[in-house]
Amino acid sequence: MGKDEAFNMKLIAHDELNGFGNGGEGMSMQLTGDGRRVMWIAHESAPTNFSGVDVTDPKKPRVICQTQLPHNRVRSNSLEVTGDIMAVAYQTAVHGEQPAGVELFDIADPENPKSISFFDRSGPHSRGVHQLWFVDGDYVHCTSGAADFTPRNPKDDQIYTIIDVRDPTKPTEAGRWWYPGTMEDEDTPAPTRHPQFDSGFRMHNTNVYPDRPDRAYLGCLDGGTAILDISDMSEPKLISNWNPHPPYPGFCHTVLPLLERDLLIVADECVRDNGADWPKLTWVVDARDETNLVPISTFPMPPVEEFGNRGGRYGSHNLHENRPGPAFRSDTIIFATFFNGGVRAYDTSNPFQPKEIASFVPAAPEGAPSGAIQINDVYVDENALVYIIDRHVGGLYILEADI
Amino acid sequence: MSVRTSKNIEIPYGVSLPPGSHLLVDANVARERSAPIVMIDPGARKVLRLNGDQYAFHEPPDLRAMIDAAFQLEFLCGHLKQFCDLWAKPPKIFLDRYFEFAGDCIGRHEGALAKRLAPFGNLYQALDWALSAPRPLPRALVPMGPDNFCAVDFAFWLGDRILAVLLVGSGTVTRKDEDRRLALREAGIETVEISTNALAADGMAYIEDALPQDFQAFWEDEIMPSSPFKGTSLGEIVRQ
Repeated sequence: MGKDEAFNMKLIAHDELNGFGNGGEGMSMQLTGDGRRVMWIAHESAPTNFSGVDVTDPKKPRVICQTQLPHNRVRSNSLEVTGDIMAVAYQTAVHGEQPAGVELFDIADPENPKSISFFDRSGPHSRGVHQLWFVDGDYVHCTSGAADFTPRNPKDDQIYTIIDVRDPTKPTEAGRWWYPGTMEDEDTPAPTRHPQFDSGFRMHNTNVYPDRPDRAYLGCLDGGTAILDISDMSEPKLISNWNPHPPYPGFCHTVLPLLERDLLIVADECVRDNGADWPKLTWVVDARDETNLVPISTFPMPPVEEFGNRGGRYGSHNLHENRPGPAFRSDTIIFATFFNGGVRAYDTSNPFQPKEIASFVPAAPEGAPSGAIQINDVYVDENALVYIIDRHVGGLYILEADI
Repeated sequence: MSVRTSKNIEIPYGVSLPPGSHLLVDANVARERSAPIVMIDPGARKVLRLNGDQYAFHEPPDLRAMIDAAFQLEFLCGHLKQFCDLWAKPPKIFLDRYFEFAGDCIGRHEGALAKRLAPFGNLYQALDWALSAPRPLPRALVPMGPDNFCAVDFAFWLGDRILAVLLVGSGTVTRKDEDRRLALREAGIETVEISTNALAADGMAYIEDALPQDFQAFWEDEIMPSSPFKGTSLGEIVRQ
């Protein structure tokens, strides 16, 4: 089992989510009408769809809702909550299956979520939606396949898709963008595949902030970072594309803009065990000229020799994304997850030399298939309480950070 | 570097604190950052103005280019921006709006101010009075005691007291932020919090409302306008 490893962070609660402790990449806080705080958690894989955990008393988290998926060939890896509406992403194991798309739920009564609508994105070349972003109540920004989108390479199947949900009972597509050269029959030449780790040129995180509604910040896996002008959502335009892959091992995951500092924090995702795709980094990128992005540093991480063989993955993954709502927001302090490297907080006040200021690596949970913790996602609330989730069995950990 | 003495108050500015450090720092931190310092003689009760001395120009200004107050104001605004965080937008917006505010104030009182300058013919322009505005010190360390400083976004010396300016954006207020507010309050440092959203939306009008009365007629105590680009002989200017 080992011991927790803590630096300026303290565990205040742990909940294994009724034995379904496989957290995905969606964590979002709801402030309910009756004054409760509910942390909604997506699950990495079936059978669980999503869990709602009452964290009003963060020392005593309590699962108050847990729903199941219709079958085991679909996963709902991502969710977001705005007000009393929750958007959930459905991705199937293979192309052509269902359900594949986005479901909106009314969670005003969090014990009894009610489906409002389902936006179908299934199709012969689609697995549906892997990830979504929903922070303004008006639009869902997601990475999705589509019935009418045929990728040249099946790995490039999920494109940036904007869904208008201003009438949540009738979601409609508002726009789309795909990495140039990835659609069948288009004139643009196909992008060169990564020579060692071909993960594809589909989208991962698709962040759009109400403070800057005309910009979309996309992680494009092996395509790196893209900034789009979405002032006309029906016709997103590429502003810039920064891509260090290759020689780096691909899978650009999250592009977090620090909107008051003209910096981007760009996280790649480690997708191989035992350091096989090392180094998966979190980059600091100078965005003073958004048409000419310049990497200036990476977050310091413990050496791969120390964590690479602990079991499972070790490297960058999700970030706390400064979303609006009951969430921590900072243009200097960044929380990031690193699978068996736990969660780590960084001070980027000198972006040339980011400094780790806190970390927490839970002990391997009982039954961990890799023999190690695999921290998958992080959400920090407006009180700077840190919520992290294990990818396999460990469930939810709630931490206090001394920042 | 010495810290506050019974005679002088020293205000380091342009200080980038080490990552992870607290906002309340000791004199060693200030010293190690080798920041420029303005030295204030509180007994003189003299406002630190844009037209004062103690600038830390990285390179000597091209005095031949300082043809009028508008150019000098633009130059000083750009100079002070060099002491802000390279990537941070709100402090630079604050400086832009502050300099606009100074110019706008003069514009609104141009008739009366021009009258004061009339005996000197064309020697002065009304806008020269804008250089009498208090000088903002970016990323300043405000002295809190014999060995302690508090990091603030801007500091002004108003002749009888320090004014601290904190820029408040959309970021979460952390424990360190709270500690800083409390420390400033307990030390009796007058503090103004500037909303970066309001700054972006309402600009100089918001600055005028937010800053204390001292900024309303900042030229009042000045007998004549003056410039920080003075004390240089014509010969020296020509040699440059």
